[in-house]
Amino acid sequence: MEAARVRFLGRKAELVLLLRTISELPVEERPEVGRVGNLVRKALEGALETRRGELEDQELAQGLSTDQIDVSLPGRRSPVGHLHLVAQTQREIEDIFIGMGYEVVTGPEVETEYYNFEALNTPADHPARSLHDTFFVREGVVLRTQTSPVQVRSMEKQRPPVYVIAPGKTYRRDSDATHTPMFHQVEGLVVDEGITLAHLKGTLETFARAMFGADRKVRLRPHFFPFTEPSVEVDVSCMVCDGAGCRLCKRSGWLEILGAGMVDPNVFGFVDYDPEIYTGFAFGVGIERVAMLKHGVNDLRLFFENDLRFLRQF
Amino acid sequence: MKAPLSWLREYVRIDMGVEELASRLALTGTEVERVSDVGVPGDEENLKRFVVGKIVECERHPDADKLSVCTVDIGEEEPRIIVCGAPNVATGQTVAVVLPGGIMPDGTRIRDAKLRGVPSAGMILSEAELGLAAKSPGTMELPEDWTAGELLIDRFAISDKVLEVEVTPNRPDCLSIRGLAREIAAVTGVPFDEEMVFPYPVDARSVEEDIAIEVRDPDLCPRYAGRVIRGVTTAESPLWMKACISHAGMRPVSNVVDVTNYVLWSLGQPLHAFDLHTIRGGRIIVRRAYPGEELTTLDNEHRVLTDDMLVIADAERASVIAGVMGGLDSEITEHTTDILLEGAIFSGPSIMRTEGALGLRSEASTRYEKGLDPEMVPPALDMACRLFVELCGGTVSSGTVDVRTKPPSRRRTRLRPSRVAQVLGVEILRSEIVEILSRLGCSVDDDGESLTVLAPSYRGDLEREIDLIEEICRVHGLEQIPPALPARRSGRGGLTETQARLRLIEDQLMGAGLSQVITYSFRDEKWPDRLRLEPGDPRRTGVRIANPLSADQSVMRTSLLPGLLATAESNVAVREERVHIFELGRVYQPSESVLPDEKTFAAILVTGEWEGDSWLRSESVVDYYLIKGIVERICKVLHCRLDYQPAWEPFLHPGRSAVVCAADGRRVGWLGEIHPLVLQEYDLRAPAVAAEVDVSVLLEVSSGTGSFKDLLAYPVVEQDLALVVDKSVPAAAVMACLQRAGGALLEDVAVFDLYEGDQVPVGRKSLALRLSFRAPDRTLSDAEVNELRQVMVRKVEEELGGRLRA
Repeated sequence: MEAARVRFLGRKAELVLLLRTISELPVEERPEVGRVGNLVRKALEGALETRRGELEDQELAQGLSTDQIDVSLPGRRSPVGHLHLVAQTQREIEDIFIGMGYEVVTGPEVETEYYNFEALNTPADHPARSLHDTFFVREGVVLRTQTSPVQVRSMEKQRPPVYVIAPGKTYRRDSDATHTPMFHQVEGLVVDEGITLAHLKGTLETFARAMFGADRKVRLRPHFFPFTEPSVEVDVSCMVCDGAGCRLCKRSGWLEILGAGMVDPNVFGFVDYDPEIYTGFAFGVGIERVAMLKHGVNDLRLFFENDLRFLRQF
Repeated sequence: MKAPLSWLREYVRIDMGVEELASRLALTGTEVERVSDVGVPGDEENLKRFVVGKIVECERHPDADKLSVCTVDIGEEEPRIIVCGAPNVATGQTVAVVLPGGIMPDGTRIRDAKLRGVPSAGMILSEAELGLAAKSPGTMELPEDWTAGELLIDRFAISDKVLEVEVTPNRPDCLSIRGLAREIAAVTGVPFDEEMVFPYPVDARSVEEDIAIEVRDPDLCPRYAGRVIRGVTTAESPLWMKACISHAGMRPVSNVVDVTNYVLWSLGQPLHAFDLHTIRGGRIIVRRAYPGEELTTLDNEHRVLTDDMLVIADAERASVIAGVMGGLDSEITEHTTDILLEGAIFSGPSIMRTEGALGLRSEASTRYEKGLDPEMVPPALDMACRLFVELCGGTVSSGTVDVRTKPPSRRRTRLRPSRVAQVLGVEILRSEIVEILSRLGCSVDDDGESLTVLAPSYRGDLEREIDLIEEICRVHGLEQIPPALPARRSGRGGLTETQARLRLIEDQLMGAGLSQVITYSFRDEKWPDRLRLEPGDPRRTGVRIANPLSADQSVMRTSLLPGLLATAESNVAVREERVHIFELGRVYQPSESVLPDEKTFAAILVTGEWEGDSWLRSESVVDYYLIKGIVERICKVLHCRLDYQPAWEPFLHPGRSAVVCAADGRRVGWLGEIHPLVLQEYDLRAPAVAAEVDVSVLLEVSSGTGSFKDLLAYPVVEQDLALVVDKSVPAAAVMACLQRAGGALLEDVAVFDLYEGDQVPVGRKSLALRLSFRAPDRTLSDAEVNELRQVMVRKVEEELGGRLRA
């Protein structure tokens, strides 16, 4: 390139020398020679420029084509963290109920027997209150066995309408393949004028569909809990077999997901709500239970062993 | 409770299939855990192959010592030849025969066979083969009056379906075949016969000649009744009773024992049979145990009793723990001929306390603890007496000793049909309400406005209007309740600011590459030692659990660190060596008030390569600055500023750790590299760093969301500066000094290099700093900035002995 430039446009090039000696030509010839000479020079410059561009492009292309990496190798690691499956599931449940107008409330885990049992209509001789089933700190103080005491604390703090859910840790004196001494619950409570069992059914149906899929059906079975009456256990149609019966649902087509009921008038007595004016419903759902059903986790203990091989899956 | 279907059918008509029945029960509140088949397969074809046979002739097998060749009449024209291996088989016996084609309980199909050359057209059965006994010595002998060819199923339950039901604690009335049958009648809408009559002949001798009963603690024993049966002969129970007892999950023992168990299962009333001659002084005294009184119970355990336990005693000493378990001394044996039969009611809570204290539960006590119907005592005694007469050849002395300390009571409750709709959200017809309650055994009076409901004696749980509404609801059918959503009247849902920010912290920690763990809130007692906490460290004082499941879980945590270290330990042990974790949870600090202070803490632990594990080797050191960077990240999103000062935590590297304080001086937490001895303690081979902060304080001192500053209108002016200071001067002090001198125009100071070495004097270090200046209302001129910069440098010189590096 440079040689060509020097030869045609350099200081000693024919054209350049010609143009430099233009003054030696007769006056009438000068403009014409000058004009043509410049044209030629422009053309030469243009040709050189074009060629230079071509060569540069070629060079770049050649350089790029030899600079090849293995695109299949993994990228530079960007650390990825994980929320615990219980935390994820808790948020999911919270968000469903927040969408239905609930507030999220919390209460102490080390709780008085009054809030954990007494005010929930669970008399002193109830088996759940024994040293066998409940962790005691001392007489009158226990590790809460349910998040239900938050119900009572919430009702003490406000007048109806009450729409709250209370997520948190709970403790029961039980440890085997299907029980851990600590687990998580979300308690729900609605109290207002005109709240009925039909509202409980509709609410839980909405929850079950949001959590487990729009096709889920919900079934209520009568049950017994001290602080609700009527009390029900709630089943959702099996998400694996859609009710046909499979191993997960033990061939019944239904999976038990939670316990619920209409707030017992005695409980209102403890918080000075008039049961003739107000009615309400409450429910308690195990977060691990929901997570296990939703994600097919087969052992409750995995949640608290904190093996990273488990935690990283979610 | 296990309920054989054929037994239920003695009390109620069941028209539907067993699956449908199970589902109807489940949907009305009686959970059926499983339905199982017992005995031989119950299809008609199979049952036809199990018949009564008469052994016409029984000869020794010509080629086998232990086999007999029997000629058996099974009501066909010609008797059959059946080869039998039982040692007791003999001519003249009435036996149970299965014909070829019959399928046994274990699924074996019986075929025509040849045994040692002799063809055999069936098999003679033993009790074990029919599942009525664990082992049988030989063939099962049937009563002589059974005729050849009769189907066995017409005589006793060789095949049955057993419902295993879970009865809720409020329904002890369903803990019996009859009670369950009544519930089935109520929820399937068939009639139920309430009457219970069990006639039997009585002796001229009066019960009072044999026994006197005294109840000293009427509160714990509302009713105590006794009968005397003389001259019983212990033998095996008849097959029908053995079938009932074994299908219900009990073990047939002898006719006398089986009768009490049969009545318990039939009617739900526990009975206790004493050997009359073991009762000293002819007296039964129902009293509290004397403190320290001793008794050996039927399970051969020596028990020491306390005075809140009720016992049944004779004139001298306790012989039974009332309602829980009998004593070995007064037990019925095969030599017993005369029996005192007890039918009693004991207070549920007292029974439960005794069960708890002794760790002892029985079929009787699990019923008593829930509260039983005092009206069931006489019929239960009657049923038992009748069976003692029929099956054991006993004679019943006339009369009953019946001590009743509490008058019979049935509760009367007002029920407003309007209230039913108010609770259930659906109108149920008044007539249906009355119908449902009547089916459940209530008497209902309608005064046109409200209903007055008299609950039956066996439904002690029907005390209030709401209890009746629950009954109506479940029998009417929960599936009939239409789903609806409540109208959310005033108010709104949502997270509080604190809750939202807790989520933000979780998200940020996750975003930083950490995995969240949830560890148990209770720990062992040793962790403070493992963390080298000093004797007076307040974290050593945790809330103790009085009845922990194990010593490993006996104290509520005061720090999240031990849980994280244990998690790291267990993961490293399974070769998960990159442990980058955090936990957000509560710690429990003992306090002056009734309940401890529960504070939400966040803790982080990182050990093992930070980036590592990649083919792209890059520098990634797990050190103080890594953990500090993560804490600073949290501060940044929470808009708060923290001070880091060197301080001593016994579990941290003393030179590479800090305490974290808020601007107001409040302690927020700590961070740093884990002390080598602690690493060793937890078997961590790689360095580890950790941090723990009190989130409640952190949230209090953070300003929440950012407030707007116009950073777009005028440019920032940046200048770099290198200052040489003594090594002991913290960078933070230099920066703070610059900040004070720079005033409002100095937007930011950042360290971008640290140099210690030949270029600076010994004992000094050089900090390279980037200063960012900005004015909100103009573009700063170079002159202005230079002047300010000089002021700042001079300040560092004056206050910290710094020098501008040449």
